[in-house]
Amino acid sequence: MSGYRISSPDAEGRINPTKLLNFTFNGRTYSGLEGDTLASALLANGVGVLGRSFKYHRPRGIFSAGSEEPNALVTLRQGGRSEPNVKATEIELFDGLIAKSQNCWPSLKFDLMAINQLAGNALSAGFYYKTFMGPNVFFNRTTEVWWQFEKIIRRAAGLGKASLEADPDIYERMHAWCDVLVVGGGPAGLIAGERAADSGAKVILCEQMAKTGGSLVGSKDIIDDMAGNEWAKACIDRLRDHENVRILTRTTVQSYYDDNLLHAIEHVADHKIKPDAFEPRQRSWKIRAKSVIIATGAFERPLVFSGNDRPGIMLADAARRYAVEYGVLPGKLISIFTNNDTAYHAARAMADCGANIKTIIDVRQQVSGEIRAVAASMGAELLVGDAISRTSGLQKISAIHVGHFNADSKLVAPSTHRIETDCLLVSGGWSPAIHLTSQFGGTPIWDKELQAFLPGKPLQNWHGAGAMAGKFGLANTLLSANDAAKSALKSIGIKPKKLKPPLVISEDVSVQPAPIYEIRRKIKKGKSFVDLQHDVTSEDVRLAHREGFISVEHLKRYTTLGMATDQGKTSNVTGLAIMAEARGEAIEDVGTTRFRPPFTPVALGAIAGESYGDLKPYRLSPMNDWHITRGANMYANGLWMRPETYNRSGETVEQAYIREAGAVRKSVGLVDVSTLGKIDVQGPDAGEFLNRIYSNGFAKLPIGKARYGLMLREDGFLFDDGTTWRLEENHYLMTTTTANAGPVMEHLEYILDVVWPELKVSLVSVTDQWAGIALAGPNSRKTLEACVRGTDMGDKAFPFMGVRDGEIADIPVKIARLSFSGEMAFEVFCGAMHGQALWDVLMEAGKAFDITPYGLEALSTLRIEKGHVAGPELNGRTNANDLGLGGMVSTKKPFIGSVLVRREALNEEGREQLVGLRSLDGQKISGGSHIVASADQVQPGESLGHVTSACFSPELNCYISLGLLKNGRARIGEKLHVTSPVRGTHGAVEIVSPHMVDPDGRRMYG
Amino acid sequence: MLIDCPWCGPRSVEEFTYRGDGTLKRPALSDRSIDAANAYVYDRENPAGDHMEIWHHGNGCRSHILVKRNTLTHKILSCELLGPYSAGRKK
Amino acid sequence: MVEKTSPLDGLLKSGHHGRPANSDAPADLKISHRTCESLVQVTAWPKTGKGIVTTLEKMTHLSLEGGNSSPANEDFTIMPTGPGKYLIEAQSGDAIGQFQKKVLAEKGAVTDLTHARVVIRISGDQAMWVLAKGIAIDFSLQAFPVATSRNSAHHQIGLTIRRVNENAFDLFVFTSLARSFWHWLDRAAKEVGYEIVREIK
Repeated sequence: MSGYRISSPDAEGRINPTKLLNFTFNGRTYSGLEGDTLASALLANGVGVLGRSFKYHRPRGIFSAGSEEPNALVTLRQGGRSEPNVKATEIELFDGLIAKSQNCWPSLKFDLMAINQLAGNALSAGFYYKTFMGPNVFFNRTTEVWWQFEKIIRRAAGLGKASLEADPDIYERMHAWCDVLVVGGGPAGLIAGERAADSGAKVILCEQMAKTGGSLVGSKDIIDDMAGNEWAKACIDRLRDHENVRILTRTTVQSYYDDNLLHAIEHVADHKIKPDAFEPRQRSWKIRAKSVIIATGAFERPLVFSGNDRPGIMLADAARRYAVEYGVLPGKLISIFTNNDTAYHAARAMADCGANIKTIIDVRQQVSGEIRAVAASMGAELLVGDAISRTSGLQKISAIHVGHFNADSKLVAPSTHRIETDCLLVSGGWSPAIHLTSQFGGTPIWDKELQAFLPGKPLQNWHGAGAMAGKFGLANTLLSANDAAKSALKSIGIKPKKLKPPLVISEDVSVQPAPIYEIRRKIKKGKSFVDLQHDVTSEDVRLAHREGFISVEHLKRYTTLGMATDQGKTSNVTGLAIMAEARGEAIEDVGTTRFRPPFTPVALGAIAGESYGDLKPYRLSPMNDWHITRGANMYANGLWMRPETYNRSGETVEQAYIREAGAVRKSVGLVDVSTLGKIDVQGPDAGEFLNRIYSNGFAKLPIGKARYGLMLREDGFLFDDGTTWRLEENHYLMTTTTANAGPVMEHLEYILDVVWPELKVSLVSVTDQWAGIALAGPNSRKTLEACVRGTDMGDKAFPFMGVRDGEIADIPVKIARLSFSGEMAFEVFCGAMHGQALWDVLMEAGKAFDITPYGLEALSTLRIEKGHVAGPELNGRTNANDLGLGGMVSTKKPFIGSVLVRREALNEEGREQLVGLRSLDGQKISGGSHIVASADQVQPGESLGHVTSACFSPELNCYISLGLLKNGRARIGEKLHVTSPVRGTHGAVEIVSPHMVDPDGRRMYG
Repeated sequence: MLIDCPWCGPRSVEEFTYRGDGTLKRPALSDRSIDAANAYVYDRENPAGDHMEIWHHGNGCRSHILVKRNTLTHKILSCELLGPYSAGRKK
Repeated sequence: MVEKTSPLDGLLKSGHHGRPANSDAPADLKISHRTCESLVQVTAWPKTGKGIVTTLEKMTHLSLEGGNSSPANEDFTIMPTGPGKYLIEAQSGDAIGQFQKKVLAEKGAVTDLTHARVVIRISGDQAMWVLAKGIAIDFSLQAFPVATSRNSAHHQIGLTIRRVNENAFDLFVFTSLARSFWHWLDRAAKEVGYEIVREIK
């Protein structure tokens, strides 16, 4: 073992001294122990420099032991699993782990970008804002010139790089409901969780580390005659035995949303080289908790002084934790710099592990006799009233320079001592981890004693416990957690079970710091960092103040203080304190920014969950597999997958649809229309209801007949169209367009529930009940005659718009004689699970007529030729009159939209109207092209309208389209142009009636 | 948000669709006034505070629910079934 | 009568899938699917609803206790899906005609949905865990008792869920979305491992 690992580490801690693990950092192989974090393992190996800083490329080491880490960011794993900006302090070591440093080039030791340090003043706060606005030089082309520099600067400043390979792992989501959610598995969380569970509440307890116990791991405290760690283990074992408790370790509660919805990320397999087969890497939990106990503890914060970022400088309690929990000493010659008592106890615990604590520098003017005794007990030199003026060392710290501290001026005198040290531990007080309480908007309250923000008044049902609530010390923590559990249970109507408070033997440590945040030198030399991750110095904060960015929100954005991946866990309060001082105000008057979710960075994969690569569900027609076997190009139409064309070998899409459409006009084709929205409308008031929601009359529709209906929105614009079939006296089957099926159903349900609840009408979506097949073409009737039983298919018995029941090969069907193509055509509906059987029978029956299956493209071609409108024309901005359907808007009855459709603007001259367009020069017309007067492609003039749907017409043997053209109907016969600057096309067209094929409709009536 | 559907019980907002202002009453079918229709379709209050809203439980019982919600705090104060089964419509 | 083809036919291959089971602990999770002999929605009008409830009780020999209670016997299963709305699965194909005759007489509505849903049954101690991955309702026994049903959504798509017993659920999924749903369920269930069986009693 290396000299930094304590030879007989405390078996009570987090590590298993008997299990060695090998790992690689920057290409070198090291070994650590099971239970180590990457940080503790690197420290044990004496690796002190982990990376280079964001802006100045200064060498940085490990600063903390948890999620607050600002410095020790590495890129973990390789290839598709490579993950940048991971905190070494949060990575659980596993055998075969590979990590590397970030933001250094060409190497960590020799980083060319460190030259940025020399340009330090130019890279100060507001750098990007100032730079990319650019000074007014280079003949007013500043911005462009700066863009070139920006590329270089962006390369120099930054963190790790994301992998370009696909992530091979799976991520999952989970929904959970509970009475009490306990956030934090330290002493407070454990006791609160047990109390809640014992009282019969359904409890979820989340702990972000692999092991629960929090500060009890490695502590010397005694609870109920048990060592703290033993007590914690016994407590979690009892909780695990509870049927109504779920314990989630390696789980960070990230966000607190309204109605007590909390989001947590469970790191299911991040501690393995890769997830087991079928195991998700991470699981994203949405937890609906009736009440929440927040026991997230507190973060120690540093002091700000010149050169405070050097590797080897670490938070005092983090160093203690490395010693007592991981059996690692971060240095051999340790110094302490503090403004409070807690650092002494951290040092004492480390000394007990064999650490050599050389010097304690306390910036306070006076310290208690007890604390002097603590210092003396470990043989440390104590310098009270002194401060560090600067640090030195090549990369890692090698010495500190100490001088007298003037409490009034906050200045440190030039150094009088030079103290050699390889590890400096700092403590500037404690900040409760109030993040979750603030996310939902609870304004934090400044506590003068603690010099810290405490959670504000709860806006939701949560209860604070332990250090998070400002209750430090084990006895206080347990008491407050017990109270929190009691109030949480009472708030949700559960009677708290009586509990004997545990007997605690624990050292009483004051956590109140002196209100000193920054040690300034008279000469402005060296950098004093506030935000280590974003390289924000105390001078940057003062610069922001001088430049007028004095509000906390501006301070944050201008300097980027607290905006890095650590979200300023160790820097926010210090930054505010420096700003408050600059403003000459108290910290409570300066205020603080609201914490925002998530608490720690969250992988995008965890948010996407299982929907990766499959962002929406898909709907399949009953005949889907047939389409695919026949080589159909499947096309997403909303959620539905539909065949676009059935390409024969060597055919292009255009050739295929021209062939398919031509076959329909010549003989017969069939198309899958199962995707149409279908709504079963029943009830004694069904007829009246339909008459009110369609713009044309439905009152007199006879049984056994279908009618084409137009549906308007309340504002008078067109909403949807479709046919509705009257099956029985009080029973109708409504069809809608595929795209609008959902919205139409919602519209109708709204009307029934909210507007006319007195109508006795039942609406049921039967889209999935019916398969639909349309047969179209002059031989469609003959095809059906060959297979239909039970109904006379003759023109007289089965007229246009007739609806009949029948049977085809024992399959009960409903047949309606409708035409979208303009040909003699029928729609045949049957039970969806008979759809494929019906399709097969129709294909067989049509063999004699060379029946051709056709897809969406041919369907669209046929209706364009006929001037039938569809989605591109029903675009939400057109009304019936625009599309030449004005005759279908009744003036005799009121209906939805009947009042506002009469508005002047909907009926004025110059509105765009539906027209047909025929290409005059053989050029293809593209949908979306503008209709213009000019033949000049470069200066086409104003847009007179646009092309909505376009195709090649096999019937007319030219390119045609439908379009919306200003005063279109009056322009029929004019020669205009269509232009598409996007596609670079421009062509001559003639404006024609939209009814381009069989305008009298003889074919469909025949 | 968690909407306490009177029929299904408390459900996550993802199951619902917002259907608009719950204070409006559609003019009678026989009312041909453009002004009244215009007000119904376009005029909306935008209160900072309590607001009556209609939510459709599309991925639940498909009922419409009249929800009283505070627009500042997102707090839901009441949920009441609309439609023919509304308790409020007993006459 | 022509056989019904379910979109899940041939997709749910019998045998074990996902995390391997070992000989000591065979897969706890079992999944099967079926189509309904007949499935109808009965809608009652507010004022005549009581009469329809009585009619349904007489026809099915079940008692409708109101709320989400979803009673079942060998012939019928009733799932209330909304105010005045009942989804009824009948084990006989000619049930639709009977419902139409008797319910329509009471001036309610009957809609045939036999082809509109595929039923997936999932059973085992892990069933709740798997379902909770995608469905945002509380599956605990207290919140979702046996012989009750819920309408909820997966991936913004509605479905009806009936708790058959402590650890078994019937999922009534839209036919056109059945494969999309299965695509998800398969992945979700693979974490724990599952077995496809013909029928789960």
